Amino acid sequence: MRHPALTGTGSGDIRPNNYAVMKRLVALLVLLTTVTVHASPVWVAVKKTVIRKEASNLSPIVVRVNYQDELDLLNERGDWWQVSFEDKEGWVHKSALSKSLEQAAGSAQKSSGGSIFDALKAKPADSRSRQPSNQQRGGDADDITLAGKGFNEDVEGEFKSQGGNVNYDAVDKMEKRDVPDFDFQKFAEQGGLKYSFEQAKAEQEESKGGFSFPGGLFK
Amino acid sequence: MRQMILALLISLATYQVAAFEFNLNDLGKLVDAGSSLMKSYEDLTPEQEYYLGRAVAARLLDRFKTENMPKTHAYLQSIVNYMVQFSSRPETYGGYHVQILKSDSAGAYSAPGGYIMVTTALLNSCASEDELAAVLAHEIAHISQQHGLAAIKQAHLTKAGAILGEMTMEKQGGSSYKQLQSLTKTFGSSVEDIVKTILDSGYSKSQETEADKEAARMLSMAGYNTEALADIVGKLANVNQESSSSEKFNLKGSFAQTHPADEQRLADIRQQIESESLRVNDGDARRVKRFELISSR
Repeated sequence: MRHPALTGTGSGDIRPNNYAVMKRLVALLVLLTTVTVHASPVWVAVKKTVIRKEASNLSPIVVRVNYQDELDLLNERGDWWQVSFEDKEGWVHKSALSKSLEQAAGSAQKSSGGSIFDALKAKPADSRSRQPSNQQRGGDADDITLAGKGFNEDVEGEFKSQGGNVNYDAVDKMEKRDVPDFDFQKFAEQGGLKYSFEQAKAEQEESKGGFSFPGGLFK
Repeated sequence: MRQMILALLISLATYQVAAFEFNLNDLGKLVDAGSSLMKSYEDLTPEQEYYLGRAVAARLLDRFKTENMPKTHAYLQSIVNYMVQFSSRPETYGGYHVQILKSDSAGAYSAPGGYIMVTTALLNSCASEDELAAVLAHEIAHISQQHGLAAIKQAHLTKAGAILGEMTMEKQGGSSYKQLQSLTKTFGSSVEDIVKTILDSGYSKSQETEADKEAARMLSMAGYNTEALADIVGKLANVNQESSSSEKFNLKGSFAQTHPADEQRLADIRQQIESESLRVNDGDARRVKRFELISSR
């Protein structure tokens, strides 16, 4: 059976009905554009963070996410981004996320357990295949070829091995020293601290629009 | 049939040309990538900032003796965890951490990515949780505004970018240990740029002013008395001038700068409190009590 969009014009030739095909192409393009606009990917740029129900530090935690997890960006509201991850939706402070591909490509290298040198052996095309819509996401040559490189664990290892006046044991100890399950509200209440995030928002907007990495890979 | 074969051949040839052009483009991108990777410190990723910060902290912690004081550390860490929520950058790659340094000179330091260090003399100079929060907020602001990273000389960033570009170009045969050594050398130079700024030259006046401004706003939003910032700045200038400490640490890069601009710094803070109607209040009795419990240890 002949496809309705194809019409015979004699001697077995099959030519597309240009109008019908064009209409379908336009419809497909519109659909693709809508998908891109509504769910562009972002990556977790910090070791660990949480997605919250509402755009507030006090809102309940929906799900915990880790470095280089890929989330879908749904909406932006000031310093907070609405995202979805594994069928769960919520809000994350934008300082924990990156729109760059850089962290995502680093993920492949890290999760494979390889060193910087293993990662460098990967062809640029390998990175591209992991992020098919690179151009749509605003990636550039830096993202494709140099992702996950730079000052990292390998460099620190080499830096340490050279000796010098460094005390990494004290740094590790410092990093481990945390207050488990720090309760923001309890700390405020017990100290009689009447905080105001609304005031924070207004003042930041008035000054210079809050925190942002102005350039480069962490826009 | 002939037409079909011809068409197929033409298609294949076009594809090859396109592929060749694509490879040339890629090659061009590779070359560009190396030179444009680090146009400025702002191109460093949060992860790179973390490793630089760890190294800077490792240098500082080698120079100072550290205190254990678990309860005081937990108290300071709680204030930091609370205050960062009001900063322009509540999240960094590895989070914010605090360490007490054993020193008779009152000072506070910060390293990129979230490392905050305060001396025992500074803790002893603080008369309230509000003053402690003011010092910590100032250091958090240096971190959130990346003042440490800004100290890295552009030449070192450009060199790092060039080495990375070179490593990527040679990826087919694997990169050499020599290249890792070159990158590490540049890393070391960048760390020294930051350490020198912290310990010797100090941040610029405009950076200190920016840190004070953000700290004052954070204090106000968090519910602390904003005047505590002016109080501790004024107090520390006097404490360090009168100090008979035999330690040779220069405090120019610390919270307790002792340059003659202190009066202007105080005036700026007070002017901001007034113009932005920032919070001024008396310490809540509960807050006074928990501070006294810790400070009496």
